[in-house]
Amino acid sequence: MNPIRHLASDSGPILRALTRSRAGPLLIALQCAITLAIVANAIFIIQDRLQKMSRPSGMDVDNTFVFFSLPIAADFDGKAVIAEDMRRIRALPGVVDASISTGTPLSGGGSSSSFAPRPEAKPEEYKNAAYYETDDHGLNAFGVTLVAGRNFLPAEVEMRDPLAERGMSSAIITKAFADKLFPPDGGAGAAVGKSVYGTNQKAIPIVGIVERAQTPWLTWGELEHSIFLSSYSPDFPRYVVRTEPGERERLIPEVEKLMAEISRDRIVERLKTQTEIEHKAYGEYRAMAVILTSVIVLIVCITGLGIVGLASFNVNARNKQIGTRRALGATKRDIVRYFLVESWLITTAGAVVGSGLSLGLSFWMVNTFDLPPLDWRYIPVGVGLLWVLGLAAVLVPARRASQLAPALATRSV
Amino acid sequence: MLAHNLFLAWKSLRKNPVLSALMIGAIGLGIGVCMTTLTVYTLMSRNPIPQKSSVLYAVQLDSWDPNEAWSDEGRPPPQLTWRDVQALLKSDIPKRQAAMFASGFGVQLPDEKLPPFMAEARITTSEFFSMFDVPFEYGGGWAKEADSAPQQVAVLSKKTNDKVFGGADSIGRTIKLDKRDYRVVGVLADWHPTPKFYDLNNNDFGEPEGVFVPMGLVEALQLPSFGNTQGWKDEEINSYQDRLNSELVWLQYWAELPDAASRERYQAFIDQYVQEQKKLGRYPRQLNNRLSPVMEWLKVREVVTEDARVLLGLSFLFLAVCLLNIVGLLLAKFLGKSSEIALRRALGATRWQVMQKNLVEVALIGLLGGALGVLLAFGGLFGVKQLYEGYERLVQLNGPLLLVALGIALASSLVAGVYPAWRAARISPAGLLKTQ
Repeated sequence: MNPIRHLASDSGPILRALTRSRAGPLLIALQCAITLAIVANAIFIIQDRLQKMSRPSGMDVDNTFVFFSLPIAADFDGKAVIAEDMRRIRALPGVVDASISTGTPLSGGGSSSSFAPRPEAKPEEYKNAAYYETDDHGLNAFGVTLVAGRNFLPAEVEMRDPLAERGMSSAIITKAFADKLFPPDGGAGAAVGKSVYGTNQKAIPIVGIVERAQTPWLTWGELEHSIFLSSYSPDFPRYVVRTEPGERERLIPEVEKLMAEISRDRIVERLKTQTEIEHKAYGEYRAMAVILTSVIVLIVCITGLGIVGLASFNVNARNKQIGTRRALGATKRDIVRYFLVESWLITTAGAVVGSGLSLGLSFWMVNTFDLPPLDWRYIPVGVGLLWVLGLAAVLVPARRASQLAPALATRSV
Repeated sequence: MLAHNLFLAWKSLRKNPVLSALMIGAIGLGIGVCMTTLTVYTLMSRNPIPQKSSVLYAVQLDSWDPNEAWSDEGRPPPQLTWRDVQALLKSDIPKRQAAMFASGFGVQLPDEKLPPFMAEARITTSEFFSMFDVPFEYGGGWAKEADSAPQQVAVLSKKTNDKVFGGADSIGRTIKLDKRDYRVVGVLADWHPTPKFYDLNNNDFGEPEGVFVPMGLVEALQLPSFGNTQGWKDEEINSYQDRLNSELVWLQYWAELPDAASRERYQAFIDQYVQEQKKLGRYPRQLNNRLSPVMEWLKVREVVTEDARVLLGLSFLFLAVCLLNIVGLLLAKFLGKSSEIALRRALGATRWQVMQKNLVEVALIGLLGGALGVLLAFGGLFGVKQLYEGYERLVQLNGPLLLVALGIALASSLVAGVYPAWRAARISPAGLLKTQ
């Protein structure tokens, strides 16, 4: 027979039976509703976090490491030591390039400033960007991809006094920031040759565009609004070293030894691989995804077991009716179908209420927290899951019911 | 009677082991999940200095950009400029007060052949220690003169003292910080204010610094700030002195104001100070100075992470699902015992007695579930510690929280049990016996 017609003809008596023993089914439906609200929102948050975690930082993550060289002597000659450090690190076999920078993507420490596309710009024309002060080896040490223009020339690089303002440096900006500053013609190359202006009105010529470089801060404004500047200060420099694939772990202690050899008037601090830096930056996201996944698994189990428990009870309580139906000619499949349809009706009722509840929960979270609103498509996903859960949970008790011998069921109580 | 009921309840649980396990498991999971998130939440939002939190105020002055407030909500910046800090320190209204910022030193071990290690440092003024009730193992803080005139003295944390001096009384000894000699005047006892309320710019739950040195050294030694520095104004900064005179904000400021009167006087004082500065062309924004007591400060700075609050909300929904589940299962169980109940009623048990017996069984389930929940919470918290860096000290179950866990378990299971117990008690003695 056509399953739809089955459903239609079965639903009537089942619904009537359901309304007679209200409490149990109502509880299951309510449980399904809240489960749906939690699951839909949790899956949404998880995928939001996973999607954010999968964004590339722009760096050669697997082959770079970063550390500070902190001076501890008053007469420390930063300029001379950095020049010597760079010369010797770059000469090490296995090192692709090394540079200094005020930060790296997602490292949590760095600098930002406002930049405008023209001089004497109005306040609203200024856009915030993180800036990395580096030299002509910076792009290569980061491993970012140049998509237009050129790298810094050695002549453009200036090591300035620690406290002096940024000098007449050149800029290489990310594609995202170029698109923001110079809409709408976009086309990355269009920004090359133009200038950005800091709040001091000095023009900084843009010599190149890189595909992507995230800012040091995960939750700060636009993640890809970054800019490289060709002047840097020897105060508290961060060293960025990029190695050949597979050479990083070998080179880390070697570079540390080399640093101690060159000068003992500084301390090598917070040595981390870029992999560790990015892993740590996303720590809370990952934790949230793991915790929510566990919550989903647990709640699906609890609700599933609840349905199993109640269905088993119903099968026991209805031994007599089942036997009678079987005696009157109902097949085993009819009995199984009865319980499946019953469960489906209950979970569907729960799904209807739960869809509203999901949106309500999302509404509350959007208003209370800084979360994006629930994408409605997660609700049908949740409803589908709920149906599968409801049917799977009831299958075993329903099978058991169908095995009841018609005679046995009617004979005894 | 209770003992008898407990005995019956235990027997009844044993009779349907699967159903009982399901119910205890459901309560246990609900409690375990809630306790885990509740522990993280309460510890994040806990009072780091309960004895004084209502009289210690974080001071904010709105020296920010005329075109754009520091935050969307119109809050002033959380830190102050060097110039303003110098002016505030001259006030005698607060009972105690302290300015401070984060820095760091390379610390030389006594064995000069060993490489120095990096220690986080706090540059502050003398009343920091007495204002925050900082406990000392040896010695004490420095004299007030060191706040303005350079004196190379230092207070060490217990950890630093253990590392450099092997835990000995090091008062009067010399420690080399960035290759300069400092005289140790104090060693702290264990001190872990959590959250680290006095400076929430870098790690809210971090440890206090390893070294404390007086503010009077700042200009002489040009000590750098390792903390957060923010600016809005386009200024020529070409020397350390330029930096000190700039509108950059990078210092934290706390005042102890023991009563409402001193609080009002102090608010009037800072407002008047800003008005005077306005005449000098500074402070382009409207008057917006704030004094926030510790707990309000923690709220303003959003110390409790959003994720912790989302998870707390979700976990209580989770508990609700567990309870609905239990209501259903209890209903099934009690109604399944209809004939037994009918027999009891026929033999003279009152409805109340039947209900009592059922409730004892429910309470037993609640207690067992609660105990399981506590075990699961230990597991959950262990997981949380693995997942989050820097939560090690933050995340610990303590006595009061355990009681809360058992309380929630018992209360929620009773709430869940009332309806099924009542339904079962309504079973009439005659109806079922007849069919037997």
